[in-house]
Amino acid sequence: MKDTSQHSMNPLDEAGKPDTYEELAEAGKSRGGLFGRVNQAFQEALTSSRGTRERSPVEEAGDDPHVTADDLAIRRAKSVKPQRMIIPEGVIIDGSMTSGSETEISGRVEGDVTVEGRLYLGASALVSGNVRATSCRVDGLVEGRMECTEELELGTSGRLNADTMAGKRIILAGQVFGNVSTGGVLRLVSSGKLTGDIRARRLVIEEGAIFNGGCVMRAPAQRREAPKQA
Amino acid sequence: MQLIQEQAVSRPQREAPEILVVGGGKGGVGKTCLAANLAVEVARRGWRVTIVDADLSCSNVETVLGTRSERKLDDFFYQRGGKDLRCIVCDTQYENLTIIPGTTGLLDVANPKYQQKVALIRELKALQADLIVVDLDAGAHLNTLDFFLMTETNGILVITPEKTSIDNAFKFLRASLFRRVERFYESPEVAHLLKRLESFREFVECVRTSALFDGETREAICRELVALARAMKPKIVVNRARNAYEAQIAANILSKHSRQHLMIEPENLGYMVFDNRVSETINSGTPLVVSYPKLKVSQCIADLASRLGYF
Repeated sequence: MKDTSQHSMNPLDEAGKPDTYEELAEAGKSRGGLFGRVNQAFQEALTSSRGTRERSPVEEAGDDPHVTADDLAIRRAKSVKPQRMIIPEGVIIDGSMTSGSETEISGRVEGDVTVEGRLYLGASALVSGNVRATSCRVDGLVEGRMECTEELELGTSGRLNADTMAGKRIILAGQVFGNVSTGGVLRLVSSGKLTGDIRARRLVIEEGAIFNGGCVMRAPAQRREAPKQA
Repeated sequence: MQLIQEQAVSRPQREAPEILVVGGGKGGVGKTCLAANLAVEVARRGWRVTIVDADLSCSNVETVLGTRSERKLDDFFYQRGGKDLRCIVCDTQYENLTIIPGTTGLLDVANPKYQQKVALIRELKALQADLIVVDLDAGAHLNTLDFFLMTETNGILVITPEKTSIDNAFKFLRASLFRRVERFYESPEVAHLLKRLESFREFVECVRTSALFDGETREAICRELVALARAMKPKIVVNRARNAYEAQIAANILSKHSRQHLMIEPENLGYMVFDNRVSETINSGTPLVVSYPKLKVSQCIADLASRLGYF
């Protein structure tokens, strides 16, 4: 108690106290030992996803008043390194979002989600918009078209309220209200509930699964040839 | 049993083929490359696909596919060998894929008469296929626009993440919307107004405040105009993007401008990643999805085909 009051009384300490984020990071670096190294690693992790320092709109745009955010975005896009993104529960995003790599969403998104990489929608995730990802695991609710290039996995707590598509595989253990189509395998696990039509090349329905709808399993040309062979 | 089978055969399989028009305004953005590769990919999945080279002046779908055929689109326009478009449909080395080769590029063919164009579009819709891919030429002249407006919704706009391409695609979209309005009303007043205005939103405002029509007709026309714009749902494909981020930025800019000025809400269909080997495959005459099926670009094309619903 005494110590702290003494510290605050000291004018030198007050002046040297790091007040900005950058100063804090610098102060951490100068301190040696384990604490310094841990602090440094922590700071680097924090700042790594904040973009490179060299870019500033003032330098890039110069004195030209007509340079818009669109122009700068196009210019920079080629050299951007995609970063991992996490949207925790309690965060609302009103608008579309795009991510270049692995993404985890547990919050609320009112707009389209586009992810180049794996997308994980946690149990508390609520997305009302179209979702597009390379592969995806859904434990929350999606109200919008779901499109995956490779795999889609719907957990037992997951629910999809619109059409769903995946290039290679779909595993359904939750509820789906909408049509499901895939160029590969569709697996309806015992806890899965599907109300809608299926379009798939291969189909597995486990005992206990509920499926109400129609099913088409071949492309038109193959469908036509089928009766000739039989 | 035989009777049932006969009935099944005689029944028409499908009323009309789906038509996918690939356009985009700027030249060299990869319209032909996308059209050819998409056609091959969808055909390999078991759909009967016909690819049409509607680039009347500079056709090169055949070069990309590596085919060579005797018959040309000229024969249809000059009605050599019958009036039927089906006579010109040629087989390719790929299963389920047929081609209607482009014109010879001789002087007169690039500007067909209106009747010839209408006849071509009518015949295309009557073809026996599941999907017809139409490859357009660059620019926004009337032939291109009319081919692009052949279907209401199934148009693809190919762009690259460059300002020039985005700008041209926007102008192409604007021209096609104006052409659509012009054809819908067929009145000289509308045509006159359209030639003066840069933005469709301005045009709607102009009609709303103009003294040419009385109150109720004015509102009705405005509603019609907005419905015409909303009915257009072009799909954007970003070619030659370094990553998904870049593609999304380019697509977003185009969507934003079309929403603001044209009241059109385009859909972002996907992108094709930049790869040096794409030009190599074009030179060798083997489509990308055949020569390098494992490449990221080929995966992108497969993805586009899936998104369009061709499994």
